[in-house]
Amino acid sequence: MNAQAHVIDFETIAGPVFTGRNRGERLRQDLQLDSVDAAGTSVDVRIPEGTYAISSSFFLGLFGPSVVKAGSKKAFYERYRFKSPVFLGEVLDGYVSRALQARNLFS
Amino acid sequence: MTRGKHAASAAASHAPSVASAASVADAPPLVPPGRVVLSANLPSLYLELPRDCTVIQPSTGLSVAICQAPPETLLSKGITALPAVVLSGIALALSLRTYFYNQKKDRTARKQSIQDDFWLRKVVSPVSIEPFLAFIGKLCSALPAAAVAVGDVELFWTEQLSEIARFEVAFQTLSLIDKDLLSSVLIRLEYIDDKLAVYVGQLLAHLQDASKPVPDREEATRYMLASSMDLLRLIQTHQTKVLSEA
Repeated sequence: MNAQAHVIDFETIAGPVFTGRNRGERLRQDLQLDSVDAAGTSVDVRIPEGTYAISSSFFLGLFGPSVVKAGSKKAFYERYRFKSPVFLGEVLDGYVSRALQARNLFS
Repeated sequence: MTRGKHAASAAASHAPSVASAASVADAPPLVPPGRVVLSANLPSLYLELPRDCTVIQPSTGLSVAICQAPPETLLSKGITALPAVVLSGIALALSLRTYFYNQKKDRTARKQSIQDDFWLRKVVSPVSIEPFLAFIGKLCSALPAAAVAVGDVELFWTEQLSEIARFEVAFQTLSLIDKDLLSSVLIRLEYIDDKLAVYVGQLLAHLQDASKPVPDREEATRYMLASSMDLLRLIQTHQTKVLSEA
């Protein structure tokens, strides 16, 4: 288990609504998540209460490749630990399912 | 001698000629072939016939000349046959053109029948396009206004997200027709998803803090309808492209 987890705090990203695949992909590049995934580092994702909406395209642009690399919801959540409003947690869980679904359709 | 010259020129022109009578004192001339003596009493009065003629002189005194028609030259044959040959050539060209045109038309119809009639109408449309049209209509009419509870907005949003996820799967059938078309369609679906997220986010912000502005419901529905029309137009354009390439 990694001692120091990587932190993604949505409070530091311009919100409170997060949309757009391009935006998600750019943020992924800025956060260097490909390298983080390659290193197997854990990631703490903090989504503040004041976040009203996160669209699927933004989420999949940011975390999609990580979900696909993990291969399953369980494996993804073992490395990516989300702390978010309850309502958004359910929404994001749906996005994780869609990322895995898209992987299965195209494989 | 004069008579001989006349006879030679007549033979050359293939026209019979009449030689003038010689004096009675001359010995009756020999009748060469091709000549018809007109009177037994005047053997020098004769008809010079063309080479191709045969003279039959029975004892009745009547003579019958049978002449073959002069052989036609290639040029004369060609001139008379030319219009018929030209028309035949045109008819043949038109027949070939019609044959290839029908072949192409059949190929187009077959391709259109497979792509359009079967895959699009019987497979893709029933599972994706038709339900999508119904969904968009319902989404735009049911989009919550400002006077609803936070919980209702959140529930509405999660329900629509499930529907959009369903269409993401349903539109995968487009990959049977064209993978690029599928990618373009999914992008338009994401536009609708994003707009919905923005509207819901702004509405939740307003419901939780009245100082925040009310989102523009009409603008949101207009945008989502326009995106859905773009999505359908992509499929329509693809169909037109298929037909023009066939």
